[in-house]
Amino acid sequence: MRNLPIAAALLLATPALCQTPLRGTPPDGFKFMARGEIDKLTSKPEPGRVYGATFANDHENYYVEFVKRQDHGNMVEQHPHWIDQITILAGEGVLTYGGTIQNPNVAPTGEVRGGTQVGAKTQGLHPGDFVLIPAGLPHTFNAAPGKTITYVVYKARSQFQPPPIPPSHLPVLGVRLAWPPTSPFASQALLRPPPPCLRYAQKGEG
Amino acid sequence: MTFRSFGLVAALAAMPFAATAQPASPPAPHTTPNDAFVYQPAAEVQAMTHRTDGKPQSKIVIDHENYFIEYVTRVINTNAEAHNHWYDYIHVLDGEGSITYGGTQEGGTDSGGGEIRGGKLVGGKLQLLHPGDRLVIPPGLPHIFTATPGHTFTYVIFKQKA
Repeated sequence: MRNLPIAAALLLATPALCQTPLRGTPPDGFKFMARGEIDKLTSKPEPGRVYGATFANDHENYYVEFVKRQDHGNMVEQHPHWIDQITILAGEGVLTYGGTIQNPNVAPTGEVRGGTQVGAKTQGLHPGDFVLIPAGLPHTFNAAPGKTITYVVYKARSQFQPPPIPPSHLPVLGVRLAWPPTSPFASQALLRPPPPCLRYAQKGEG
Repeated sequence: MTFRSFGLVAALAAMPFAATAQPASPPAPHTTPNDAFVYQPAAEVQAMTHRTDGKPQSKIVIDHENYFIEYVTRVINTNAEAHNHWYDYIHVLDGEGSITYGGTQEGGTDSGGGEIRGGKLVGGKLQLLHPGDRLVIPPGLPHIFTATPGHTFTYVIFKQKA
């Protein structure tokens, strides 16, 4: 019972600190997109980036993304809350995965973009290959030298890892929360889908 | 903190658990453990759905409670289907085929879990499909996927529970 007020404080504090809107969109209707239309959307690099990407169906717990990358300028990435399920569509590429990220560039959401990936393995990628990147696994996608690589990512929010507690939640009422929580109430609360303010609203954070 | 406010806070904290109380024996979830890193080369992916006896074949590669990923190769097919609780996000990989969608599915039967199979699709529209094309099929929309005669038709589906 000692931790009950702490769990309660966490639950109560959460809505008050909500700052980011949901990334959800209305339910999808039937849609057909021809290949040419998708190619057009990914053929131009995004501003400030070397790759083209387009979000096709953007929802709170999943989305579809088409990506075309070049052979340079790609950063190591780490998504603590998203699982990438990828089918390679065209071109040739190299996936560098695993190991650790030294001097990571961490966004406030916990997403990592950039740093030095050490101790990683590499895997050549070809059209038709399937790749699953679990939540939290460091990875870098590059096209093979002089080539491009195009793939479709089905992103699913990981239901298995509770979100890290944001610094804004600590301390609450002068009490520093135990993390991970020791109260069965608190841990149950965290196993449910994260409350809205812990979710990501910004595109490109997947 | 006074004893009174403690009681209020405790009651609020307990509310979500009361609201999510489950029946005594909920159905077993269709879930699998968290996935580790997976790499499957194209030849292996193709082998999963390749058959030489002319029958359609599908393979679920990632299977979870609220989503799964399935590779499908079809031949000529006339069976209508509708998924009342799932979105299909489809990317065409290989071959040639078409989808007939919409209208009404007459005489279909629920084969379990809101999966309507069979019967006749009346008043549907036809869309030809080629590699690289993409489709979204919302829950409840009747449809028929078929390969063009003399071809096979391969696609990948991201199934998401509605």
